[in-house]
Amino acid sequence: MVFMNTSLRVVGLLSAVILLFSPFAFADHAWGSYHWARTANPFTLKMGDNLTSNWDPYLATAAADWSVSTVLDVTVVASGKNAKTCRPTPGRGEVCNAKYGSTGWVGIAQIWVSGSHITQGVVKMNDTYFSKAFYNTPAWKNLVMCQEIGHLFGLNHQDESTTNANLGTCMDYTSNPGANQHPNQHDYDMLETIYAHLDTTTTLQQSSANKPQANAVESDDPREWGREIRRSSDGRASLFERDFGNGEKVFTHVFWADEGVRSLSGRLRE
Amino acid sequence: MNKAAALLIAIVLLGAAAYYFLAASANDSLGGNPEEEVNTDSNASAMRAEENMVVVSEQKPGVSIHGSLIVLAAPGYLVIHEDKDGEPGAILGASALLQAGESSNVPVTLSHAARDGETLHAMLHFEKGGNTTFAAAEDTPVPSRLGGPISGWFEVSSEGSIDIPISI
Repeated sequence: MVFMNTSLRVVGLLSAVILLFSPFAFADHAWGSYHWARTANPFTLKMGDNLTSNWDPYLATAAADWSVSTVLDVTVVASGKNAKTCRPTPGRGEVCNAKYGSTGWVGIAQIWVSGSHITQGVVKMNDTYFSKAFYNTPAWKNLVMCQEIGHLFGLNHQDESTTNANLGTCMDYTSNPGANQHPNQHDYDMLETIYAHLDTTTTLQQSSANKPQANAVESDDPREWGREIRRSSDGRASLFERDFGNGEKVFTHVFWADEGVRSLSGRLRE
Repeated sequence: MNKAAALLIAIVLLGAAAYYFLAASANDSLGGNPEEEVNTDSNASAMRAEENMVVVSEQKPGVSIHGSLIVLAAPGYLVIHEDKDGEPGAILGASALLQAGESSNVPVTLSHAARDGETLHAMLHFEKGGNTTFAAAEDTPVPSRLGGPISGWFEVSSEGSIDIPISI
């Protein structure tokens, strides 16, 4: 009887330990320990736009999706890279599309690292495949763009089987992209884990100071945020878009608290 | 019987707990001391459209080419071709035999130095003869489901990055 009581206590203790740690383990889809070095959160990662115009909406969607994260924001900036070579720029990502050939991949992300710190990254969308009817759909383009941009933050895939049920995230391999076009809460949670610590230096390209229009909407007044284009499933986070024309938009990321606006972050400039 | 069952459950749970502790410990490096991490084996798969895949980025001029990421369904080779009117031409070099699965940072030595501004083609070939060296006559190109071989072009530039990117 004494033995049984002891055994049950051990079982109970171990069960508690597992319950304590299992969500953490299952949530792990970080890409190694790679991350951008930065000294504060949320941080802003610039994405150089070297895309043809038909791809721009997909980059904008991916940037807005990932900016829902509490730890990072994505700013799309004009860039003038040769999309075929798509050379990297220190401190930011470059996003390109071209017909790269029958390479076997539809999209690829490449990062350069120093230790575990990402220093620059490149995303390529392979139009050799996207020019075919099977891939030339908004769903596939959303999925691949979202996934490759996600890799630049240090995220890996949540799942690499194309035959199981979709997980509802773009970080999930699939043969049917319908439900996998955007990040899910698991991705945002993983980003919070990856970027929970701060570094003493930064590998990010610093923002330019002269952005008068963007500064104009750095306001707590919701009337200056534009239209709400996305809200998280729990209703606690929203993303607003204000279009200044000439390709310039400002995205305002809002975390709602019960008593109203809790914090603001997020600026996406196109 | 009850004692045995309790012991069995305890052992299973202990093993599971140990696994989770190890997983959590590995993940702790994200925020613990990240500068100590080394990126020696970080290649992973890209968003694949086919079971075979080749990634070769821009290269520096010279006789040495490195494939960033190769995925093969069966043993084969990374083969570098010269460009002929935008299509793969004569073979300039081949890698050592690659096993099925993922290979990263695959070296190929060319028969002559690639020149600044030149375009080359990276193609996959399957090993067909059961040996360990590339033979163009028998080791045929890996077919793409788009038709033709699994192949992609890359440029050679003195301004290319000297770093080897990690691909995913």
